[in-house]
Amino acid sequence: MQPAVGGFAEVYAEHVTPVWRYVRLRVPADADAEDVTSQVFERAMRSWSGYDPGRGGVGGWLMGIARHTVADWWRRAGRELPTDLEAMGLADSVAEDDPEGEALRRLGADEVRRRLGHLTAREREAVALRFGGELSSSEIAATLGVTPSAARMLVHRAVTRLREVMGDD
Amino acid sequence: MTEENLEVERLDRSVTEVLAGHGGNADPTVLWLAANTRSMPPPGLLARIEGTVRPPRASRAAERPGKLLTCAALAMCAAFLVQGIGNLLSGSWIASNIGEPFGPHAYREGAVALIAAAVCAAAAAVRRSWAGLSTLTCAPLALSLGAHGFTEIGVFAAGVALHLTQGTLGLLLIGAWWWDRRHRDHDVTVRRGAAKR
Repeated sequence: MQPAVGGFAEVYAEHVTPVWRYVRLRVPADADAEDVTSQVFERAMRSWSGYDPGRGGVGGWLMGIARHTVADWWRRAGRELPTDLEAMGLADSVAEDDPEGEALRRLGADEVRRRLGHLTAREREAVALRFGGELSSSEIAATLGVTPSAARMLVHRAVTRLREVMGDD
Repeated sequence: MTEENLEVERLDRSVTEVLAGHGGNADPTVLWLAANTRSMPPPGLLARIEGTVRPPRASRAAERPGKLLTCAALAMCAAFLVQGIGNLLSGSWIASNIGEPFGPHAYREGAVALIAAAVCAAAAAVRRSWAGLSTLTCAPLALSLGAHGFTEIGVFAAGVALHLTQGTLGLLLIGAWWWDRRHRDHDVTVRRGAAKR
């Protein structure tokens, strides 16, 4: 069944908040999150006619677009980030395997993003989808391409790690 | 099921409850995450996205009826006005020409109704959204008067001319309304396409 073309405004109204929350947890500053969220809905509107409800809920579909848009943002920002960190005297500490986590730890606009920077990329993604996107474990599993129990395990490990980080603070 | 798996399942249920607004006794880290990850989007962002995703409202120009509909509606209005004012001012002359007794009361009330119909016809020339109701109201009246005009042939030339004109304008109004509606649907499709791009 194809969705009605005119229904996108309703989809936007229902999902803008979880998309914003998810994106906000994935980029260092709110200004960046605003740009990315706006791009997510531009992309979603262009792809709306191709959305197939038979392949999953619209929330999961939007989160998939949000994930790709965030990844694109990091690809672009990654070219500039080392310069910023160098200017702050932090270039030596940039982790090669997780520059996003390092950037969040150093540049995150608030405590929650700085702490999420201590998680692995997969754990951070799972927490952002679970708490920001308010997806269920099954929806996270479908989005990340893992089993629901693996999605639950990712969130569990993330919470355990955050507990340690908060204890250290 | 191992102890770790049970703990994983427990945490998942706890997160679900906290996100649903329950679970006050949940893990403090889960409560902290739920409290700090769920800010509302800034109004500026909402306005920015809404500007993109909401279909544009019909502009004033888009609400203006086409020329053909405007002309047909105004001509219809004029035809009803001529008859209404004629009935008010020259009722006895009309009655004598059609060989009927003059009834001032009936003529006056008929005149008022025709002037109201004239206003209704004029509405189609003001807004597209009013044109449907205007056509639905005025076209049957005009067509009835047009048909009645045939009965006056050979009796009262001015009456024949006026009524046949009204009948013709009734047909023209229906055609103009249909044409305008088709044109408007095309405009909306084009606007939506532009908004998508």
